[in-house]
Amino acid sequence: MTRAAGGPRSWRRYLRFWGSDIDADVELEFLFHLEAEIVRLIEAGYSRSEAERRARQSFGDIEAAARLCRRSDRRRLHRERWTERMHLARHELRLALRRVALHPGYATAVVVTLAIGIGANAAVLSIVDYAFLRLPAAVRDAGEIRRLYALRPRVGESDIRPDFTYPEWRDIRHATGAIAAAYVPPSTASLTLPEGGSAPAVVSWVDSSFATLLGLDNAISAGDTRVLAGAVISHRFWKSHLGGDPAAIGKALRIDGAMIPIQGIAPDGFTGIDLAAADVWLPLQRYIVGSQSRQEWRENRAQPIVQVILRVGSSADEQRIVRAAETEFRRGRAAYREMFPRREVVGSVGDGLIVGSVVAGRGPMQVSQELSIALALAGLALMVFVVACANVSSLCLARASQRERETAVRMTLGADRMHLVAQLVAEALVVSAIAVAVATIGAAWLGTALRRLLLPQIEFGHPPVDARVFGAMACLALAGNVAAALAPIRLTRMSDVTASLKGGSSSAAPEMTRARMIFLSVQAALCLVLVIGTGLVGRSVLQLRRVPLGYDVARVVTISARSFSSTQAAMLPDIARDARAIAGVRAARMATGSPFGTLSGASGVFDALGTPITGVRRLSYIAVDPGYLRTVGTHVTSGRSFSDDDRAGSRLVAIVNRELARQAWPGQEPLGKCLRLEQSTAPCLAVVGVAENAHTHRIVENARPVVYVSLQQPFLGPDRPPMQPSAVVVRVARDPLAVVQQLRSVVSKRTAGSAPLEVKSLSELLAPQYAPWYRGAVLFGLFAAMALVVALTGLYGILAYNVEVRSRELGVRMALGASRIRVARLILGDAMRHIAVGAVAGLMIAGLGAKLLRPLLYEVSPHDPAVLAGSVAILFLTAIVACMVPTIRAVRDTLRALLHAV
Amino acid sequence: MASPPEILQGTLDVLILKALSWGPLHGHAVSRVIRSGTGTFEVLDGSLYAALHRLEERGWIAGEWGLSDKGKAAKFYRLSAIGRRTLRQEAEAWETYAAAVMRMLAAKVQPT
Repeated sequence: MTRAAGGPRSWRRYLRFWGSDIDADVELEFLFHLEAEIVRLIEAGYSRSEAERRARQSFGDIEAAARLCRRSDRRRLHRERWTERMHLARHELRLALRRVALHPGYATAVVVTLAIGIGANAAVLSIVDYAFLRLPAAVRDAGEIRRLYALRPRVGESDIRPDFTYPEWRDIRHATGAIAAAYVPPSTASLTLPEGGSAPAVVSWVDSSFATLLGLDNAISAGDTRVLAGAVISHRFWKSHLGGDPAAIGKALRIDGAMIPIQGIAPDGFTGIDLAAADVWLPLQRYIVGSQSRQEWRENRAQPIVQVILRVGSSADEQRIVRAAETEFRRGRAAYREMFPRREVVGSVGDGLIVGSVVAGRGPMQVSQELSIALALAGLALMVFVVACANVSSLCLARASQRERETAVRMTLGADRMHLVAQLVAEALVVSAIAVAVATIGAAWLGTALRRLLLPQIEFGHPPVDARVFGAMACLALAGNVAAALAPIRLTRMSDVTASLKGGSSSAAPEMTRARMIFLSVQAALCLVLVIGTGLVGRSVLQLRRVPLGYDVARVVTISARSFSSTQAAMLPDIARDARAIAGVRAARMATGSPFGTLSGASGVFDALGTPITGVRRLSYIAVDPGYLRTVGTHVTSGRSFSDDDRAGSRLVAIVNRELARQAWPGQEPLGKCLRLEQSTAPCLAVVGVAENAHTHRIVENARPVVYVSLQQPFLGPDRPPMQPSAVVVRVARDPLAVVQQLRSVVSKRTAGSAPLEVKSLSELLAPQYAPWYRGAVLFGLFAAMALVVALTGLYGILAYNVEVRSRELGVRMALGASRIRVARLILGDAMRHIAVGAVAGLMIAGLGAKLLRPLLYEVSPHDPAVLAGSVAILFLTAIVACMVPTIRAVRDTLRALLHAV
Repeated sequence: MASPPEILQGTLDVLILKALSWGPLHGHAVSRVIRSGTGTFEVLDGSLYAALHRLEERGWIAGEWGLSDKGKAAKFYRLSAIGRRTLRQEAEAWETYAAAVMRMLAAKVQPT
C-alpha cells in the first residue's frame, strides 16, 4: 500500500449496490489500522514521521498481507453465495411442495397429462428408434455395413427381398471377396446346454467372415474367430444361462442333434444386426434345412435362405462392388432359368441387386405392417404429446389467472421479480419431477406391452424404453411446463397490478383466456384426428372380417405337412379314416394342398388345341378328394362338384374358380371348356364346375386363378406318376378346438412323432394375419382414448375456471332475469365454438394426413363420411360430458353467483 | 536486548480467538490486546490481518463494518459459535501441552 493514510477511498463503500468490493475493503481496513497506530505512537511521544515509520515497520509487508486477505475473502464470498443459493432453493422447494399439496387437483391433472405424454412417446419412439434409426451396437463402424437385396421380377410385380440362395451367395462372394458375409437371420430354436437342460435361444447361422466383417474379432474373447467352427454366444446368454463362467468356452451346445463347441463370447451389447436379438451364432457350414442334406441345400437354386451383408468404405466403392456382384448374380439367375425354363417369367425389368441400410426397417423393402403401425403410432404419440403440452399450458394459464392477484400483491409488497420466477420454476419443477417419475414406470410398462402387442415374434435385446429417448421427452416436457408456469410473470404487468388488487380482472385476463381457448381448439383438432384414425382403422378391421375368404373358417381344421415327404403321404389315408371316427367330425378329405397352405403352381395352361391360354397369370392347381370343396366350405356356383364317379378311367374333369374363368374365357361360359395343365400334350380336362374364389395365401390378396382336379384321376397324363396328398382337411360340427386336440393325438399316434404334421384350425391359422390389424385398431384406440382423457381434463379445467371467473357476470345476468337455460347456453356455447373451430382444423389435418394412413386401411376411404361424421359426433359428445359438471354448477349455484354480484 | 521469541505456527489463531472472546474488536485493537496480553510476542500486523481473514473464511469469526470510538469506519470481528467452541478445545489442548512441558522442566530429579 503506497498511499498515505489521508484520503481513504471510503466513498467506494457507498457506491456498492451488488456484493462487496473486496479490494476496497482490505485497503480501508489497513488504512484504519495504520492511522490508529500512528495516532497511538504520536500520543506516546514520537514525532509524526517516526510514528509513521514505526507503524509501517510493525505491519510488515503490506502488499503480501493484502494479497492473502483478498484471497481468503474471495473464497469466503464464493462459498457464502452458494450456501445462500442452496438455502433459497431448499426453501423454494419446500414452499412448492406445500403449494402442490394444497392444490392436489391441479397437480394431479398436470402429472397425469405429462406422464401420459412422456410415457406414450418414450415407449413408441423407442420402438421406432430400434426399428428404423439405430445401427447395430458393438459393431465397428456400423455405418459402413450394408445389406444386399435381390430384385427378382415376376409377372406384373417386382419382388425385393433380402434373401439369397446359397449358390447365389457363392457367386456374390466370388465377386466381392472378404468384404461380404452371409448369415441365416435369427430364429428361435431349442438348445441343450453343456450342463444339460434345454433353453430356447435365438440362433443365427453365420458365414466364417461374419465376425471379421463386423469387427468383432478382437472383441470376442477366446478362440480364433477368423475360422468359425464352433458357436459364439452373446454376452447376455453367457451371463444368464451359463452363469458367466469362463470355463464354458470349449463345452458343447446341442442343436438339432448336432454337438457344437462354444468357441467364444461376443462383446457385451452385441446382439447381431437384426431387430431380433440373437443369443447364439453358429457356423453356416453346419446349417441344415428341413430334410435336405447339407449338400442339397447348398446347391438348391430355388430356395433363398441366407442374407448378405457388405462393408463398404465409400459410395464409389459400393457402386463398383455391387456392379461386380450383380453381374455374377445375373449370370447365376440366367443359368437357373435355362435349367427350369418355365418356373419363372421375366418381366420388363431384369434381375438386379440393391444395396440398403443394415437396418432393415430403413428399406428398400416395404416395411411390414407391424412397423407401419409403429410409425403411425409414433405420429399418434407425438400428437398425444402435443395435446398434453397444450393441456398443461392451458392448466398453467388457468392457474396463472388464479394467482394473478396473489402475484400482484406480492409485487406491490416489493417481492423481487426473480424471486417470483424462482418460486414458479420450483413449483413447475416439482410437478414435472413427479410426472417424470410416474412416466418412467408408465413408459416401461407401456413399452413392454407395446412390444408384446406389436412385435411379439421378436426377442428384443434392449430395454423397452431407450434412456436417450426418454430423457429427450422428459426434458421437452420439463421445458414446456416451466415456460407455461412462468405465464403469470409475463402476464402480470405493473399496469395490471392495480386492477388485480381492485378485485376485477386485469387487462391480461382476456389475453390468457384467448390463449387457453386456442389451446382448447388445438386439442380438439388433434383429438378429432386420433378419433378419425381409430374409426378408419376400426372400420378396416370390420371390413376385413366381412371379406369372404371362400371357406367356412369356423368349421375347418387342417392337417398338413410342413415339408412334403412320401412317408407322410402314405399315412394320410389312415389319419383321414381315424379323423372321421372322432365324434363331431363331419368329414375328412385329402388333398395335395390346404387352405392357406401350399398349392402347386402350373407352369402353363393350354386349351383343347394345345395352344397356351394367354391372360392366365400364376395359375395354381390342387388335386382333391371328392367332397373336399364341401368340407372346406368353398361353394360351387355353377355346374357340379366332384363325385365318386370322377375316378381313374372316367372322363377327366376339373373345377375352375371364377378368377380363372374370368382370365381364361372372359365373357364366355366356362362349363364344358377343355384345359390342359403343364404341357400342351397333357390330357384335356373338362370344366364341370365353377367355384367361388377362395383365398390361397393371405386374407388380403388379389384373386388368383385356381383349378381343382380330382386326386383319383391322372390329370397330368397316364405316364406321369399320380400326385400324392399332403394334407387332410376336416370339417367339424361344433367348436373345432376340442376336436383339434383329439386330431393331434390321432396324428401323433399314427406318425409316432416321426413326421412333423401340423394340426390347426383355420381360425388358428389365420390369427397371425388378422393380428396386426387388430393390434393396429387396439393401439389406435388406446392412443385416441389417452388423447381424449387428456383433452377432457383440460376442457373441464378451463370451463370450471371460466365459470368461476364469470360467476359475477352470470349472477348479474340471472338477477336481471336470464333463464337457467340461457346461462347454460352461454357457457356451453363458448366452449363449443372453440371445439367447432378445432373440429374443422382436425378435419383438415385428417384430410391432409390421409395418405399416411393408407397402408393401415382396407377397403375404407380415408375420407369415409360415416367415420368422419361419427368422429365429430364423438368429439362433441365427450366435450359436452366434460362441460356438464361446470355448467350445472354454474346454473345451480345461482345464489352464490348472486352473492358475488352484490 | 534479546529479540522477542517468534510465535509458534497456529498459536496466533488461538490468541486472536482469545482476544475476541471478550467482545467484538477491530484489527488494531486485536493487535494491541495480544501485545499487551502476552507481553512477549512481537506479531507483525500484516500476519495478524492475514490470520483474521483466514479465520473469517473458516467461519470461526465474523467481520462487520462499524464505527470506531473516533467515528471512523472500521471492520469489527466477533467470535462465532464455532469459533467459541474451537477456542475452548484449543485452550484445553494448550493447557495439557504446557502442563506436560512445565512438568518436565520443573522436575528437580531425573524422572525414572
